[in-house]
Amino acid sequence: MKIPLAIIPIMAMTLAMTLATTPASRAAEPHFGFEGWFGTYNRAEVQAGARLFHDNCARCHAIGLATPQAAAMTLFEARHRNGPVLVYRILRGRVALPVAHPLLPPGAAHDVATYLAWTADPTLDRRKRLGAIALSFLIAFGAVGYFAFGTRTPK
Amino acid sequence: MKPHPGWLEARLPIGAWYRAGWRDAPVPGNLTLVFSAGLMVAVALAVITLSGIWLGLAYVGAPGAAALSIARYTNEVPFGWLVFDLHRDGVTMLFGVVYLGLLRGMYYGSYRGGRELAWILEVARFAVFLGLGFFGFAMSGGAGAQRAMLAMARHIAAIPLAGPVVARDFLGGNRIGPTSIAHMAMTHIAIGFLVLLIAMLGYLASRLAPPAHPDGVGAATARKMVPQRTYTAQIFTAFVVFALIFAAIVTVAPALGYPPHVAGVPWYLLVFDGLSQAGRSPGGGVALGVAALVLLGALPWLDRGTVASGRYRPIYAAFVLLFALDVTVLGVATAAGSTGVMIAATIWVFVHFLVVTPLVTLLEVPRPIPGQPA
Repeated sequence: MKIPLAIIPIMAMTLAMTLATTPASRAAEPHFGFEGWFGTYNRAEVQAGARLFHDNCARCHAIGLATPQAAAMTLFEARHRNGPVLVYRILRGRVALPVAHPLLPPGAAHDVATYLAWTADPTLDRRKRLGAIALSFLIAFGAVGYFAFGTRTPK
Repeated sequence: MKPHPGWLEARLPIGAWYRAGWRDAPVPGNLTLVFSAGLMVAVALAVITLSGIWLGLAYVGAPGAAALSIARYTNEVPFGWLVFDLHRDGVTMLFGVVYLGLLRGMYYGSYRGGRELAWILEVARFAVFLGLGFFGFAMSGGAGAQRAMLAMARHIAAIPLAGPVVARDFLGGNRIGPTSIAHMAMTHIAIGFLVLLIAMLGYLASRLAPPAHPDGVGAATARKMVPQRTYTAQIFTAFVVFALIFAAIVTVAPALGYPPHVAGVPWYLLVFDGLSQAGRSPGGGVALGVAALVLLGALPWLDRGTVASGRYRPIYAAFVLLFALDVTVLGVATAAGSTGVMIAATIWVFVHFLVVTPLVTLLEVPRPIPGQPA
């Protein structure tokens, strides 16, 4: 009975997480490579997005963690569910806002959304690199332990 | 021949203590992997405590500044992100093994036969973890956290007599003010260290009571005792599985189970958030949450059966798994905001404890336990 007992809460947790974090519809939404399991930022896109932001958005919005400002966009994507998609949709005019928001073409909107993902989570690349090393180590550690414990019986 | 003890060992026989209390200590010979969940609670607690101390050094406990101070730490200080993710995802791992351990206890009847106090301490530790989780969430200072603080103040104010006074003390005034977040932070830190004492007391109570095992406390198989070191490979397996899941969450989805800033509570509080919402009023809500915890702690007396383990009473075991499913549904329904499902799942929680548990355990004819006279 140990297998069903261990698996039920894990499956239940996974289901709960999926239901709690997945939006109802993902149709016609842009794709962001860094959102994948081991995906990292595309440096060119982040740099292009930064240029576009400073040319088009910086008149009203700011970047930085120095002071809490209403217009600061640094953490915007961390504070909203599906942040990159939301920014993209705002910049494409697909989100109803109280005041009209300037729009950008699809490629530029995608770049700005990527840039704001980077400002919200600039350590994503480092995290995924270190995480891959940690996971590889644990798999090797587990394999070594499996063979070590398999060859001797503790008395 | 015994080796001559060293200078330190002669004065502080910690080696002998380790051998008698751990390495050679007799434990049942039939423990399964899920019985290692308790040790993983200790691993998670160590990670959370150490990362929490480091995180506390970077934290500014003031409205508007709390979230920014943590963002600055994660984004601008080397490995700040790692300390932060080890803390928040360590909590996810902690509640994962705590919920698993509680389910294991319910399934195998580990709360009976002299283990009542160990069980009550396990439930009390769970309740303190929930409180800690709440204060930790509240001190993050976002809009959802502020809403949760105000809701909690209303719950506290509904307690007869002392409630209104304590509620003001909890918030540091009538509304969220300059010191409210500092209240949450200080309480979180103080209880964080207190819970280590409760956990140690619970460990002692569990270790010194008749041992729990899959055939049920007191069943004959427990008499086949083996030294604790027999389980080294099993504990190693549990640790590697635990660490792999932990590392995968930190790497791939460090915000797993945590709502974005605007709304909602972390996943491990969802069940009790659901219970408090199903109570329909601050007083009713807090009463339902407390009642559920008290009933969980009262399982040794609600269970009227002659055998402990779910292995030998399959009907009750099925109801325990149904209860786990019901609690999951309650949490998911709370996250999704479907009030009808939430109330139905809440009702089943109490039906399970007050009707199903006493009746099924009393009426079910248990299967014979191998090697034990009926």
